[in-house]
Amino acid sequence: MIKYIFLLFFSIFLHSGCGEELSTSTTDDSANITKSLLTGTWTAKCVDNTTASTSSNTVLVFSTSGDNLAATTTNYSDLSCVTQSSVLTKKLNTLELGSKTKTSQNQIINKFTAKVTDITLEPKTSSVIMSLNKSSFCELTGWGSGETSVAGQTCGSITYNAVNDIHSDIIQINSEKTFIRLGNITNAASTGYPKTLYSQEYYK
Amino acid sequence: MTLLAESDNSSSEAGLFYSTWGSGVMGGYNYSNEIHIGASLSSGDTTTESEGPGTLIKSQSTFMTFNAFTRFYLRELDITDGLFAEAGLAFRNWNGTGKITEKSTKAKIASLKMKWSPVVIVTGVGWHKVWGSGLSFSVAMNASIGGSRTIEYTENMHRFSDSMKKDLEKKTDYPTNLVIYIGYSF
Repeated sequence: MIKYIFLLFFSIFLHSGCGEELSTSTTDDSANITKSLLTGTWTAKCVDNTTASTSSNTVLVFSTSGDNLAATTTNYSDLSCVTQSSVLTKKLNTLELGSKTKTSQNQIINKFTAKVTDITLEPKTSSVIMSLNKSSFCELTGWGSGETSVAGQTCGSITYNAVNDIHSDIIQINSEKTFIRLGNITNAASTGYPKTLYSQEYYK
Repeated sequence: MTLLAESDNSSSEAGLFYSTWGSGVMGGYNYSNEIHIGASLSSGDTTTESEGPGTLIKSQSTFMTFNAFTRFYLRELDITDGLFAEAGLAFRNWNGTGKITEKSTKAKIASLKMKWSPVVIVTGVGWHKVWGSGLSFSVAMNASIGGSRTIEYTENMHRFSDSMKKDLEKKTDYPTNLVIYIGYSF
C-alpha cells in the first residue's frame, strides 16, 4: 500500500514544478503631457565643454496657451556659465502635441510638431562679432550686436530650419512632473522625429 | 549504518533546514515505520541592488512558509531504505517589490509588485537517514502545485518590454524547493 502511495506522490511530483499560474497587469503611471502642464519656463543646468573651455545652458519658455515655444541657448566663454558669448533662440508656434507613445528604447514620450517662426543668433561681445564677420558665419557678413536670423542658413555643421518649416520633436516628462527632456534632433528617423532623447533635463 | 525507524525507536525529531524558499525549523513524528508526519516553518528574504545603463534597480522579496506534510517511506528493500515521497500543504506569505530609478535624477522609471497565492500543495521526494547517535539528516526536492502569483507592473518613464517581463517572470518563479535538513531524533 505504502509503495503505491509513494509512487502516486512521486508521479505527482514529476508532473508538478512547471511553474505557478501567472497573472500580470500593467499600469501606466506616466504623466500626461498637456500644454497647460508645459506652460512656463524650464531651465537646463549649465553644461560645460572642457575641450573648448566653454559652457552653455538652455531655457525653454512655453507660452501661457502652450502654443508657442522659445528655446534659448546661451553660450559662455567660460566653463561655469558666467561670461556670455552668444545667444541662439529658436522660436516656434502652432505647437501640436501628439499622443503618448514610446521610443525604440521603450522611453515613454509624446511627439510634437511646431512651425518655425524664426531662429536667431545674437553675439554678446565685440570679439564674437568680429569672429563671426571674419568667418562669414552662416554665410553672413553683417553681424552686429543685435539678433540676426539664421533660419534656413547653414552655420558650421548645422543647417537650421527655414521659417515656416515644421519642427518635429519628442518630449518626455517624469511622473513627478519636475523635469522634461527633448529629443536628440541630430538623431532623427526618416519620419523626421528624433529617435532618442537628450539626456539633458529641463527643470521648472 | 542504521536507518530511520529500523534501528531507532525514537518517535520524534526536530532540527533546522535550509531551502530555496528560506531557512527555518522542522519537526516530525514517526507515526509508523513507513509514515512520518511533520511540519516546518521557514522564512527568507532577498534584497538585490544592481545597476543598468544610467539606472539603479532594487528588489526585495520576503518568504514566510508554514508547511504541513506526510512522508511515506520505502522500506522493503535496503537500497531504497530512507527514500521517501511526501505531500502536504504549504501556507505562505510571499511578497516582492522592485523599483527602477534613474541614477542621475532619482526619478522613478518603473516598478513592480509581486504576490503569491497563500496556499499550495507541495509534493516531493527525498532521502532521510538517522544515525545511532540521533543525528538526523535529509535532503528533499519539492514542487508546488496549484499555486498562482500576480505581478503588477507600473510604468513611469519606461515601458516594460515583453522580453524584460519574461526574464523577470522567469527569475521570480520558484516552483521547486530543495530542502537540506539536519536535526536530532529523540
